[in-house]
Amino acid sequence: MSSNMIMLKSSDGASFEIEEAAARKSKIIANMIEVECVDEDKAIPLQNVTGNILALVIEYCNKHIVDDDDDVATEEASEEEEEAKKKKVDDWEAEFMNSMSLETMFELLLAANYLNIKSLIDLVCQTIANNIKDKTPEEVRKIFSIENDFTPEEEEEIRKENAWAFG
Amino acid sequence: MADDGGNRDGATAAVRDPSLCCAHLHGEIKGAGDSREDLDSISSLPDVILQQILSCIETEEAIRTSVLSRRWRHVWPGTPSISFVWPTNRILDADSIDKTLARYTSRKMMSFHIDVDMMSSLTHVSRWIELAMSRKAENLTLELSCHPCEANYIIPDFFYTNSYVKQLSLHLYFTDLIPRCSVSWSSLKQLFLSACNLSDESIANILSGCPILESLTLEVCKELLVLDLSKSPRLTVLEINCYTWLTDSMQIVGPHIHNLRLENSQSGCTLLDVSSLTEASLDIRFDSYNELFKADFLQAFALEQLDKLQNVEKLTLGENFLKVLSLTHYRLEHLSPLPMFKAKVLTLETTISPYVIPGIIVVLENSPELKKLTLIHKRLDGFIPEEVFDNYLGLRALNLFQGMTVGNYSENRVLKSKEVALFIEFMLNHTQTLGKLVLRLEGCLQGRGFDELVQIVPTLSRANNVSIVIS
Repeated sequence: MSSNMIMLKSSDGASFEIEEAAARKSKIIANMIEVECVDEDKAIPLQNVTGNILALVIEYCNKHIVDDDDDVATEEASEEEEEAKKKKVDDWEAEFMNSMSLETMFELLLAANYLNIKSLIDLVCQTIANNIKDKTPEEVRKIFSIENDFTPEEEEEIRKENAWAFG
Repeated sequence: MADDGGNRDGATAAVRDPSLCCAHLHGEIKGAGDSREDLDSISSLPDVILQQILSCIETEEAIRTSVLSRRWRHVWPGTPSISFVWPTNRILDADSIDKTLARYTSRKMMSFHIDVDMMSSLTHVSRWIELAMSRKAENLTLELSCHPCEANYIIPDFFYTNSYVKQLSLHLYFTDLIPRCSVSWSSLKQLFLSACNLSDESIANILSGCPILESLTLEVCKELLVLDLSKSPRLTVLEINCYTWLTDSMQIVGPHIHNLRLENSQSGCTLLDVSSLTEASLDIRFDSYNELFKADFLQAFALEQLDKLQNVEKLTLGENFLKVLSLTHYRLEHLSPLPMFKAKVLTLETTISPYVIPGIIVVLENSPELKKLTLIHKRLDGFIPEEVFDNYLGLRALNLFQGMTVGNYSENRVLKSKEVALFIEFMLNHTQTLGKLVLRLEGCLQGRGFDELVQIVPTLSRANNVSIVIS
């Protein structure tokens, strides 16, 4: 399978070569390709994404484009194979998210948002949300190093506004 | 390599070898608390992103973030999804919902879900619907979990004109869904109606107001006799679940339906036109406490329904349906014969039991194009108990369920590997074209039994030239 390669350049000057098919995961880049803003010799500059984060984005896109291609190749893929493949992707995503710090996740989320990669936004949001889920406000503050700048009276007042949620 | 998170080094490395860079990043220790104790960077994310994060969790959890710090005080009210579902151990009365909604500021709702569980809240429902509509909710779910009939709740007219909603889910506890005006849900793609009182006219009115509807689900909707979908060319997915005790027989005219899931009551549904079907799933629900088994009627209608599915390529049959087909096998008097199916993929959702064998054989013998057969061992609510069959069949049963024990066949009975092997053999003996057999035992054979089966399978596979997957 032959495919076009395109170049992406991060805000700190690092260049990455990526398959066009993978890059199209980003709606922004896909749009640029559609309207032929992409000069074959020139890298697409991505002002808001640093090299280390762009590397992660590319890792994610590459992983997911391979899977999409497989679907086309074996058009009558059985349900079991589909399931196995989905599980493999899920496992990969879990491992991918598990291997990075919260700080990196925030940067990755901003990048995914800027590049408009819906599935990556959802993945990162869900992972961050899992750190809020089933936790008390105290625990959430600790996880994210959020400083409580309310006085106890103020906090009590806010709790009263939606008492049912604090049950 | 530097591991302080400064990352310039990582970026440079990435030029030649991105994987190296990732390995470097992946090496970071999880958790924000480690090296930058005092850096609260989540709070510096833009509101719209925080709100997206909050829409991944329950509304009450999102609300709790309002006490984290001043920064978070006004974040949750802009969350695009909001849901008030019956919280366990919490008091969620109408006033609380009102108070919360009064603070809710998001102008664009992706999703609004409200479960009204108290009679006293019914007076507020129309107002909440109005709010969701004014915020252009795309995904709207309304559940009435109390009995609104007594309160005579009437869905307001304005509800029936909405150009934003794309998915609508109504669980009305037998409130009338009978618009007094014409319906216009011009963006609606998916409609799910559960326990709604409909009439032939009201569903026709609703359908004519949904020009781009793609999928319709009806669950225990009473008083519907004719479901005519012939004027909804884009509606291709239909799912109907009838529970036994309240449904009359319904006629379905669905010339554009491609995918049908039908769970019949004992009254059955009549398929008048389903000529475009390519995928279908059929079963019958039985209420063993309140119903008599209408064996003769069911056999006739099961055959009649199957007759309409000749062109279906993916066919799924449930346990009760197969059991009823088994009975047709033993009938002395003549029933209309089963047609030849074009099914290439057949899925059987049933317990592995002797009672379904004759039914399976009938279907297999009439499926000359079958490529793949999947058996998923499962038993759903509403199954027909075995003793009901024993009573019906009497002595005939004993010599016809060859090789598998009948009588006292309970669902908890532990299967033996030999029985499962025998079952596989039965199936393989009645099909010629099969390339693949998938058995999902869902734990009905455990430990040694499963290992034994794994030993037997290759022999069966070779003998029949079929690849067999068991799990």
